[in-house]
Amino acid sequence: MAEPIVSFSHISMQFPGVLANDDVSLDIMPGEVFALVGENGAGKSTLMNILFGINTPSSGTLTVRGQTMKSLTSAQAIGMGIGMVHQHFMLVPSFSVAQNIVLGDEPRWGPFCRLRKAVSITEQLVAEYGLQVPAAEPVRNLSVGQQQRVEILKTLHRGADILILDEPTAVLTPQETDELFEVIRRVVRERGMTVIIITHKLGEVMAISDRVGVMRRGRLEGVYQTSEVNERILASLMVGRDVLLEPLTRKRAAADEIAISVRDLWAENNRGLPAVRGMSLDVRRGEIVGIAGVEGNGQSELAEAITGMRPILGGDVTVFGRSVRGMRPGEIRSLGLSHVPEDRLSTGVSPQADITDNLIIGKERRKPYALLGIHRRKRRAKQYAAGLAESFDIRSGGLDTAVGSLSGGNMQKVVLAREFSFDTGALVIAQPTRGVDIGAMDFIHQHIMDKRNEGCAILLISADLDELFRLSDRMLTIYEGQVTGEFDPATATREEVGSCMMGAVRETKPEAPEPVWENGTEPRSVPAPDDTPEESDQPEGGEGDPCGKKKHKKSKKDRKHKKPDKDKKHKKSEKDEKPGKKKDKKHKKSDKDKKHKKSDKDKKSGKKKDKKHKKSDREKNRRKSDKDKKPGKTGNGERGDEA
Amino acid sequence: MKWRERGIYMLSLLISILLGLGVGALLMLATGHDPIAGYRAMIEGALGDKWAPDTILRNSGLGNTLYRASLLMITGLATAVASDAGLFNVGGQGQMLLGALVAAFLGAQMTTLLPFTAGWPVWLITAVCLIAAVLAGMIFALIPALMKIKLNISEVVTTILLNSVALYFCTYMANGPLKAPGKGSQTAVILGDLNFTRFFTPSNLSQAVFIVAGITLLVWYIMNRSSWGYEMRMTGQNSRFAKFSGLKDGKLAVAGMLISGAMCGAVGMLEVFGWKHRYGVDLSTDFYWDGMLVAMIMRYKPLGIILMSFFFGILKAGAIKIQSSAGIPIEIIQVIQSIIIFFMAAEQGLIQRFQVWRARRHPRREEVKRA
Repeated sequence: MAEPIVSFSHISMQFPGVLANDDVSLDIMPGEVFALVGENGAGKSTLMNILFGINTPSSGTLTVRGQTMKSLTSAQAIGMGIGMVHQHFMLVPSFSVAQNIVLGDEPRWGPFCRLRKAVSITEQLVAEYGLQVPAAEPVRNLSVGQQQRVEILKTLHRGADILILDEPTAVLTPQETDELFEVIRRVVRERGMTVIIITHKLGEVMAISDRVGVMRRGRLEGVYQTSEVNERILASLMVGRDVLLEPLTRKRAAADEIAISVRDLWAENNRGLPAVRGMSLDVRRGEIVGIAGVEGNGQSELAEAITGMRPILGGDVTVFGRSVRGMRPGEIRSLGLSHVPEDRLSTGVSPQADITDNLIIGKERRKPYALLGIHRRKRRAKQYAAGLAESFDIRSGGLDTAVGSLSGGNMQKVVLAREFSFDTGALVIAQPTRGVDIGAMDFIHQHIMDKRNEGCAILLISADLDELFRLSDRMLTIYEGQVTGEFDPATATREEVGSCMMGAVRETKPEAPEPVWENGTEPRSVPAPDDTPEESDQPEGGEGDPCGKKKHKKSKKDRKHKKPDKDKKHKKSEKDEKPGKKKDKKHKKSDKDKKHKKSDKDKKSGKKKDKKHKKSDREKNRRKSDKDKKPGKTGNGERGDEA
Repeated sequence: MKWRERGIYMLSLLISILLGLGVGALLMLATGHDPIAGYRAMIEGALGDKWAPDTILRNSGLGNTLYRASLLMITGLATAVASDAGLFNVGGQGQMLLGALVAAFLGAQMTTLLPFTAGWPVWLITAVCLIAAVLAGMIFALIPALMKIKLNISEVVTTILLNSVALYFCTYMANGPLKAPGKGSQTAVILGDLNFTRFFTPSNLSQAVFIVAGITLLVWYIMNRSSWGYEMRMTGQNSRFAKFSGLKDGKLAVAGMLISGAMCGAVGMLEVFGWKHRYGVDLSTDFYWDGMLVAMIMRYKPLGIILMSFFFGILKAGAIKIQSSAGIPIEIIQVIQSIIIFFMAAEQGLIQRFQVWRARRHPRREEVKRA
């Protein structure tokens, strides 16, 4: 083999209190796809940040293209052809794709930026690498997958041929992941690029990489040819012991008693746009209902609306038969609902407070931990916390450690330990294993399954399809705030689920816009999303529900017709865009028929806001037409619209 | 673990105090004064001078120190309670002034306005005055707290603005409706029976110090030992988390502010009953800023605030003596005080430096600890 293009030599990185990298030596060969795997906090990102010049190593040297040095600055790293796509994208949301791509290296005319040149540069890049993105679209309107492509294009524009991807697939659907991998293979094959990919997901390592390095606790445990290892070996290397993701045991089927019932729920997101748009679902005792959806399709808002963290604008949610509309989270908790929030750092814990304080909250006035509900009995609280920490395997420097300083997995265990300890009959769990390593993941899954087997009703929201397939008794896909399908995880395929998450089947070719629109509206005499509750009301149980399947097919068909106009949108020339947008704005509140006819133009509109509003308008139209046909059934829908 | 952190914190605090004193000494040298004599005068002035010619001088220093410390303690805790619950009470001055005005008014007029109270024992009238002052402070704290919770208007802005409202309202009352005959913008003197017994005259120390001690103890208990204080702290640290966990986050934040306002109102009353005996426009409330400083330096920890108040009390009370015996102008002393405080505030950076340095030296030990 040739000389290594990047070579780490005895790199150590010392942060206050943490040795993030410990004597790491690693060679990366030109033209290979190198995967770096490891648990959270294993030091993968730190190592790559050293290569990209963000961190300065405490000791050791770095050799890039034969040049040995102690450390790099970011500017130097970019100059040496290193590009990094971070886990959290670093794009300016209000700038267009082209502007973002040229940012920092703008084509100039005197002090001015040549925007049109930027667009043409972008289009050239797009053509060259086959990464489809709309050059003139503001980045905030792009999907996460598209944003990632922008990030990649940006690094390519800077002339990078060593590409570092930090957990690139964490936010992608299976289809988007496949596309990304296709792109990676192509740039490696055609451009001879070197790609380093940091990931948690071992399946992806097997799929994409040539070699794989395993990190654990700051050390490089070993480097292997991917063809010589399998997922199980890698997993045990990562965790340092065997992790067998064995199927979990499911005791008894779901009971008939409905614990959480959502009826035609409407809620807004933080920007004041409708995010949950007429969702309905039921969760019975003793079942796990999984919600699959690409992030930003209303799942966070759904969880928050159920648990009282977000106002319910339309429809209703009942928990054990009591409507929770207008209730505070505390009151809903007292009905018997606990909640594991999606964002543990800002909602699930108080980072400054210690573990005991975080575990005891909600019980601070209860009998053994307080005298007369006033005097705190700290020792009892501590004993209790110690017991919980023990049974949930919370690893820390002691119970008085600030929770904010724990690793993601341990912090999540704190949240789970507390929420599970309320012993409520219903649980809403969002992203339970996000940023959690495999060892903790299995542990958390086991606990969730135990809760189900105890007869708890669990609504599980996750971006991780593996997790949903593993845990769910039933799975619902949601797209743009509506339920788009119901699946039995035992029989459904990931592709089916994935396409419902996208609201469309990708492989179908675009059809002519007019009929598509008609199809999208008219033939829905049995509206799939709105129907879900009615059908699941019947005590058929979740598993193997034939209705669910039927519905899935139907919704799939619907998606089929929706997607093409999305594709079209990007392909349309940008010139048409602006007038379309303007008109759209002007007539937003004009009568609906007009809107309907104009739909073609509307589709080209770039603004997501408009799109969303328009969608809800479209929704109204659809409901109207539904109503004409089935007046009885859509009564709910109308009420939701008004709200 | 926790104790070690505390140890490091105390150490860095000590270092910063010494650095501050060192810079202060340099400043004295630069202005042509003897730093040793200066600091000795400060200690003597604050803690009592064994060689003073008479007992009055010997003890008034200690009295002043305790008096100063008690004020800083209660105002520092008042800030800490509010900030524990997530609100920043910068309006303590206004709350104090109103408390003082109400107490002075009732102390002077209650028995004449409400004849049935004339026969009441002194302690009862005192208690009524205290409660009235507390209520005045609470009401004045309630306004910004509600504005913050309901309308999300920054409580920092509103409390500062309300300070002026209170100040000018009280000045108006002292100049107008409640003005006592004679010169000066001040209200009538409170009934002689109501005056607290004073200790260590001519210092301002009085029986008020016991009330301060009681309030301090109570507040410490609420903050550190009660479920209520715990809930307030959780709200202050992360109100979203508190709401999520079922706490009434808005009410708890308001409660924190109310306690803070109540304490400030009480301070106003104690100033009047302790030594001022009336409300006058010259009543100083500037010590509130020092109290806030103490609270911030000690990171709003009640015990730390109580201890640090004494140190600040020494600094403040000693200043007078430095001027009189070592001949160092008061301005220099104030600069030195500021420098010391400055260094203490910078202590956080010092800790970090220290930890990085230590981690570099003993990486292995850190590693073992983590594992």
